[in-house]
Amino acid sequence: MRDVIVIGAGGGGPVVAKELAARGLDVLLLEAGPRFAKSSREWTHFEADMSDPIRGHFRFGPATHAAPVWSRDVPQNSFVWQTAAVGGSTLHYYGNSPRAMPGVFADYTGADAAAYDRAHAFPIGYRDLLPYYDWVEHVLPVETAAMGTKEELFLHGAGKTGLPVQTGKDITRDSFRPQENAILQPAGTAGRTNKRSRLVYPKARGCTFCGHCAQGCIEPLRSPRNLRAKRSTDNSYVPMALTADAWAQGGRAVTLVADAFATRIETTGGAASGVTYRRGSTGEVLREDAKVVVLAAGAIESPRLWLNSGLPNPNAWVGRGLTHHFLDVVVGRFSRYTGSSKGPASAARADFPGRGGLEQVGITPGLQAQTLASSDAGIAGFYDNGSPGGLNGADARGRLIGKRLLRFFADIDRLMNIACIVDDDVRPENRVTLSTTSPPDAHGPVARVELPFRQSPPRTFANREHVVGRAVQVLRAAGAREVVRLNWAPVLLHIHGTLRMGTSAADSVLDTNCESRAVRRLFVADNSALPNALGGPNPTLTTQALATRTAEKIFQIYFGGDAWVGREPPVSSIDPQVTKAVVARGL
Amino acid sequence: MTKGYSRRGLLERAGLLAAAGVLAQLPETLRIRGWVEDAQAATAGATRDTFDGLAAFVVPGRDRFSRGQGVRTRRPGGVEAGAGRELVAALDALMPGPTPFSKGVATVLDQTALAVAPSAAHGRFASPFANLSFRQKARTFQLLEADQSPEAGPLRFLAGNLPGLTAFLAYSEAGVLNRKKRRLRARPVGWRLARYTGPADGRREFKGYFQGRRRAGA
Repeated sequence: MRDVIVIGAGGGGPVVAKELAARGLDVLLLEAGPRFAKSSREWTHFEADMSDPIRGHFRFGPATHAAPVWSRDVPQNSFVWQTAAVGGSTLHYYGNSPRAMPGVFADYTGADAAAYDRAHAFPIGYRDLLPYYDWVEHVLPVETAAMGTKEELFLHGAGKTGLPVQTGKDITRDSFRPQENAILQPAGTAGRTNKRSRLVYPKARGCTFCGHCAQGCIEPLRSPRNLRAKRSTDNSYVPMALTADAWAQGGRAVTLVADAFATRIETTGGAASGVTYRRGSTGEVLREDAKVVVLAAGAIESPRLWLNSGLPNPNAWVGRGLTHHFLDVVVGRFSRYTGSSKGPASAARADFPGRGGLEQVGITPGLQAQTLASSDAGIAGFYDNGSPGGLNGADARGRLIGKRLLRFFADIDRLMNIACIVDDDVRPENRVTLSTTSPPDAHGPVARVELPFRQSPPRTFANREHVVGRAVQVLRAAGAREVVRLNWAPVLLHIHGTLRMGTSAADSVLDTNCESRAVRRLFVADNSALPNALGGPNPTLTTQALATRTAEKIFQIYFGGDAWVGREPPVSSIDPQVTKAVVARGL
Repeated sequence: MTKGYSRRGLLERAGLLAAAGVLAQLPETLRIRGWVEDAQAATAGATRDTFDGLAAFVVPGRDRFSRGQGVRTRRPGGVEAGAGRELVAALDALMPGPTPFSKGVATVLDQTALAVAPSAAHGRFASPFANLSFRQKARTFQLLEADQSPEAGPLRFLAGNLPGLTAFLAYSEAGVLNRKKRRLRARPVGWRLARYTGPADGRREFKGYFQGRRRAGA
């Protein structure tokens, strides 16, 4: 019997695995997708090779690439952007690591408290989570981002709109700043040359400003896996988990099994007792028992597995409360060079407490074109599909098609994208269920993701219009000649809350320790556990801080151990001890 | 640890189960609309015409599909980028089955095109959608996105996502990527259209730190 089985090696699962492995527990980490153990050979910078959602490496699908993607029943115009693999969606994330807004926590007493979704606040205080933020920010590590041209422009534009600069990590007022990113910042030749021969580690260290965050990080060339610039968990927490015996006194290396799709959480006497999973390459069905099970399969698959396992759902909140930041994108066209396809992918942001936030986003041409041709507001110049939302100062709204696309997108490096991240309300209608209309796959009934986004609450719509208007202002102030609001249908990049923790047992699934109220010894450690939309900040850092706290709770409650955060110094994932073990073991 | 083999797993390896999802409901939508025979009868050439017509709609060029819709340019566009061919390949990879999935999707576009312009049944292309004018193609998408009938879920999903997928395929390396060798056969059309300089392992783009800030305060 294992001590702990963690289901899912994405943004949250490896955090629990690494922390408990460092305490000497026997941890099995299961991942449904492939493990890219030799990513520098397996990956390229080509979008069609990496980012194609059907045939690319970064897709929600099995390790056997000839097999089709796994699917979901998505009955509305929307796009789910997830990667199944060791690293999960952190493989394509941009490393943005802001803390959540204090106003979404139980202990907030600010004058603007009513501006937040207080009915669904964190059941713990912001101050309770701060030590875990500090810990994770050291482990990853999180660093203040350097600028490329587009960041200079964004920050200049934001300043011209009258916003003040935020200098700390905690969001307290409308403000702008360089991002806090889980990316090692440029050193040596990184960011200072285009020449491949000079971009080899250790001449180049940290982010090389290649502009390919969405295609996965394999830079600098020939760097040890744990010294890759972007701190996706395949480069940070997973290498630490696999070498815990080398850098932690009494640590024990995690057992990682990829291509292992969990199909059932087993229970005994009302408590989690094991996991049944299926190997994709062989169809073999295996079962392992454990004292504790940690569910971290992502905010769509976690509730699906819960429901497919027949676990209790006494208040019918399993799968409900999905928040997704109702992302929108506003794009400016400039007459000058912006370097949109180059440099750090997203290194500047603005935050608006109670509303949401903005961040500039650089992307490569295929994804840029996809961005410009996606909308809920029809085709610009032809029809608006009855979509709510206005121009808010933009010149056009809706997807760009035909000559309009060609003209606007005539030079990728004269564009600037601003992602508008909305503090959207928790609502039970946004939910994951088991599909009754789509056929089951090899792992059981598939997930149905229902998002009646046209019926979103007034606060959500008002917040979206507000941050879109702010984005337009920043672009104008930065010198954009033409601005387009895409008015996206839901693009599910930030997906949270489908097994939410909460104060009330009436509308939450997890208690304050992120343990299931209905099934003891079952914990949740991915974005599913988040109780709300965080006020708008990107979710990964908060999920990782919460997962660290959850690991401590597991160790204290079920293994008789003591807490360690705030009592011991954290070991960084770039610590020489970790590097030495990673290199020695060929990881 | 215990071991076993699921019947479903054996079936899947034998290729008897297709991928699921909202698009798995498309055959039912086709049945309700009376379009099943149209999908089965669609030739590969007609299906390809439909997706070339879509590629020309999203990214017009100097090709005959762009000329046919009355909106063209003097440069290569989505058709020459290979987006039509790649759409067929991608859709068939998405939903493997006895009838190529691309045929079902093409039927949706073609049948809706006939509702927009019945005369599109006859024209220079085998696909009614490809025979439409640019404005009529936009109208086709408008009808699909507005369809609120109970069986229209897959149609709205397709209408919402096909333009973006087409644009991605037209502007990425999809049309010239050798997927086995992971090398490019030629410079992608989309890179030229967007003046993209191509991938790199690093860029000389470092502009320092905003106001010299290297660290955020606690």
